[in-house]
Amino acid sequence: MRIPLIIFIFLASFHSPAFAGDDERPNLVLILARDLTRGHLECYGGKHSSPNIDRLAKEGVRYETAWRMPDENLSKKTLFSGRYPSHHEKAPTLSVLLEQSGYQSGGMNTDLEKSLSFLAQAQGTQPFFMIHFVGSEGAKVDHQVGKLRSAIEKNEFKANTLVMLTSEGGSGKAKTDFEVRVPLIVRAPFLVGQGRVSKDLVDFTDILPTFLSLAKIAKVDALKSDGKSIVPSLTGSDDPFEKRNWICSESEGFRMVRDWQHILDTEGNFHDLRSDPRQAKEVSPLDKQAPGRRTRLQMMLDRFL
Amino acid sequence: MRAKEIIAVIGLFVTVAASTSRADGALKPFLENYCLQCHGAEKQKGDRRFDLLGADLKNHDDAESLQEILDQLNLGEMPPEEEKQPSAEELKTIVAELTGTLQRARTAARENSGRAVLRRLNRAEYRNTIRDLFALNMVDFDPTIGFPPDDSVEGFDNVGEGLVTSDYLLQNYLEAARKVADKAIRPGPRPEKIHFIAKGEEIGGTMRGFRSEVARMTIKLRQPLNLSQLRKRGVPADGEYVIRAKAIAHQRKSRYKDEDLRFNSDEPMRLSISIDSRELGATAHRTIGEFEIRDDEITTIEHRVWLDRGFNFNLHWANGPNGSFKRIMRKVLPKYTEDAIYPLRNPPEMYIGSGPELHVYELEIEGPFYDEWPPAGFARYFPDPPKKPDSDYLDGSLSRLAARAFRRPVSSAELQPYLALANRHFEKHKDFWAAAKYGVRAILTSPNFIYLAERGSKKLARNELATRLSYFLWSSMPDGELLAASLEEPDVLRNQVGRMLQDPRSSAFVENFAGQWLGLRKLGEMPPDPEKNRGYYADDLESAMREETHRLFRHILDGNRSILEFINADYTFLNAALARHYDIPGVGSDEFQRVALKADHHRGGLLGHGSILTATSNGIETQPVMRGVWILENLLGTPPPPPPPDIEPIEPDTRGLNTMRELMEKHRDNPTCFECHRRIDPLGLAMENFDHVGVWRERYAKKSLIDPSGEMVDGTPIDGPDSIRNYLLKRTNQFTHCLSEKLFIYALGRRISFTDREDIDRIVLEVSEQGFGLQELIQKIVASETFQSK
Repeated sequence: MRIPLIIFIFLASFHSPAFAGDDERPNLVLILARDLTRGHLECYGGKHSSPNIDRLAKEGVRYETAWRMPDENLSKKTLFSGRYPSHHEKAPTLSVLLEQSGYQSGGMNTDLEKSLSFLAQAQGTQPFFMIHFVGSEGAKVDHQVGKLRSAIEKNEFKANTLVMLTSEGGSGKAKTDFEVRVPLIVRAPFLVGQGRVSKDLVDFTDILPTFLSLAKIAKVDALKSDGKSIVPSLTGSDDPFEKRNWICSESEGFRMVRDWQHILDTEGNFHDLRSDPRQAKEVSPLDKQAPGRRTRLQMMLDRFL
Repeated sequence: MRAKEIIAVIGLFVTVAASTSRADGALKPFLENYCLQCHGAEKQKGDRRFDLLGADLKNHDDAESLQEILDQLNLGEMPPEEEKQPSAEELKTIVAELTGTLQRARTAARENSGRAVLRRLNRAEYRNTIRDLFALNMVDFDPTIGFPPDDSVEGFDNVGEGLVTSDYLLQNYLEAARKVADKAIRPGPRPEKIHFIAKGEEIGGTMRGFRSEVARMTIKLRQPLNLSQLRKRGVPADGEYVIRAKAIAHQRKSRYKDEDLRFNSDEPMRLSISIDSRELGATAHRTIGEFEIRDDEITTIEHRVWLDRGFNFNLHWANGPNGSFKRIMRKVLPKYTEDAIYPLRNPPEMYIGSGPELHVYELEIEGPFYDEWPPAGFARYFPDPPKKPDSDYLDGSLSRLAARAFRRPVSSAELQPYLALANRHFEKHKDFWAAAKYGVRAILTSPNFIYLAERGSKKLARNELATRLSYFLWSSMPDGELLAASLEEPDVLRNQVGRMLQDPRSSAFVENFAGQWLGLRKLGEMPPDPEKNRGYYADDLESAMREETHRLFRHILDGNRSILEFINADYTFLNAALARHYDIPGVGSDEFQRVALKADHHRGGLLGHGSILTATSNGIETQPVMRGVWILENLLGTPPPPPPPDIEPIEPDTRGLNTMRELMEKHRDNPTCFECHRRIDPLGLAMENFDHVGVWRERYAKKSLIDPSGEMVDGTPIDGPDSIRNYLLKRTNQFTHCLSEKLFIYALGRRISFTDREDIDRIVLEVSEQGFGLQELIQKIVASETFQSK
């Protein structure tokens, strides 16, 4: 176990007086909803009203193509480790890493009141992170997002706080794009202008590198995360080399990857999501682009072996 | 045409025959002794036969033959050196006799009536005349588009003899007149303005699905951006439009190597605007402007341009990565990321944003704008149209037009048929403007418009002289000032010529005269192989080369500089691309500039011009014979006769086993060939250091060293282009004579006749004594009796 040692070495260097007292690093709030789908949210074209979430989206970046893992447990593990399920191993998790670098922990709460009171007492001198879990019912999620948002707004550190809302999914094993494609909204006034919609590819392995990057925990590559920080995407960088060019969702014995247009899984299903979002049709043999795309996605699937 | 001329001339020769027949004395024995072995009943080398030649000048062709014999004797070209040579005394006698005979014939010819000169306008002249008659912008309007090409005679397409008329052409005249009438007759209110703006992704042609506030271009030329509002129909009316764009040069320096992208990241990015028309197709496509775009900072460009109805415009990245976007996705990207797969199609999202890009934020068009309404070319004939224009107004308008279109005062009797035609149309259809257009069409299809007719006395009338002059220097109709000027006064004439040469319309003279004298129009007929000459096309060297030669001509003309600079100018005009092609450092701009030449550039004068060197090659290799003939014909004025019809040309050596020189040696084996090729080949071989697109080289591709040495017929050793320049400079008289003769043919629109020789010889002498100025040469031609007579 070489990795924890490395982590230890550079964590030691971050847990340093440099950040003491005058630590300007942003606060990180992750709101993780259970089985919240795009169809729940008006800003994603859903039928239900979601004024608070829509407002969050208007103040930040709304991602069109964000993937969770096939179920909620795999999503959680992946979020905290920054790795795909088949790469999971014992390693310090996101919250440990943040705490070791000097972040104040707001805990992992399912109770709204607890989260609100933490936000109410939090001081501006030390950055904090907090994870708030919320159920799957759209109206309830929206209500809680509204409360959390106004609690942050009441504080002096509001401009220096990132709020990320996404969903970890439910208990069933999802096997298609439309099941694992979840809402992802990031509001970070210190990074992002108003109301952008991004088609950049993001999956759950990217959350850990993003938070570590914002917490200035450098050399995140050494952690061997499978993901990439989405900070360049949030700041509006044009450069695809700083971003993902494929994303993956994986459970035991099954894996699927997609790019901006096509999806391929380990069972050999290949679809053009632009013309066939429900993954019901074969790709036409006349499509000249498809073979190249498929070969590339196959290369990504094979890299796991 | 030619027949008419000849009949007139034959008539006059019959009358003068008696006075010249006694000149026969020395000629016959001389011809028998020295000429008839090769140019007699048995052999007719070079298609010349003199045994039937009557020194009594029974016909015009005989006189021309005598003139030719005299020229050959004077040049010392004939008899050939290996044949029996006449003594100096014999030569003196025969030259004196021939000179006298021809002189008397000329005098006699001039005293009798002149030639009836009648020739039609050629295509270029027709176009320019329409332009000036109606003050039309003709850049994208070409009513002559379907006209058959005009034939050339003596190398020029404005010689009456070649300007035949056919049913087909007449059909085209009718069609052209209809188009012109529709374009020029524009009654009614000023057309309404359009103003379209598109931002970011709204801009047509951009790749969607990326940052929406910007339209982006990633490669050179192949991703046109435009306004979707114009895509179907183009602009709604002829007029001037303003095109505006906001652009940024993004990430000129990127992670990609220039050679991978086929891109030059050291150059500022350039945006070009091109226009085209769906209706007119590919021929109408052209670039109207190019602009440098600053890095990472918005550059706002604004361009005013005349657009004809139906035209649309596109923006391009003029100097972006060369090749297709697909190539980058398949071949380049995989070198830079292991996530891309070679050589298949990777998603464009993996590349967009990572390399150099030209970004356009906003695109706009506004117009049409008019300086005046109604347009000048319309109001000139149809001033202040009344609410209900009547027949009187129609007559008045068409009369005004006819006087300009026929380039002379027109009698009412002559006008009558045109007016009657239009009035009948008016009465029948009750549509004044349709009738007016009908009348305009009748005038434009009249022989009085289409033909340049010179009638009456031998001396040209004032308006005839003005017309001849304006078709000489402008390839178009005379303007009001020229028609009104007292051209019979030498000072007035001189000033008018000066004014005309300064007028922009004189660019037609440069293009048409220089273009044909030097054979520049052949450039592009056998274009270099695109695969092996990429730069030639990427930098549009063909246009650049033509421009270089035009600029030299213009420069010599404008400054009244010596015509000898055509041979040995120590400067030339280059843009960056052409300078690179010539390997001359220090020219960084796309604008042409004057560049001083050094001896080791080998470029001075026309012989170093890429245009001529390329036009005399076949696109793959040089053609020394073509180059030799080009020099003989266009600089020395002694074109060799065409090869005998039964001779097989030397096969090109496609396997490259022999050098060009070895191939040309074969000309020696056959005396028939050698006759002419001993004059042609040394000149052509001496130019071999210039390759098929005019690049200097020391060796052939197969590495064998180029040997440019040789010997001219008179024994002058030749060794490369500089020695040809020296050879020519020792024969300034011959060169001046050649150029003067070409100018005369072009100015007169007919072949030179032996009757014109006196004027030409005198002018050559005078110009040589006065510094060889090109403008002076033109002034003397215009002032000559030959120019001012029929």
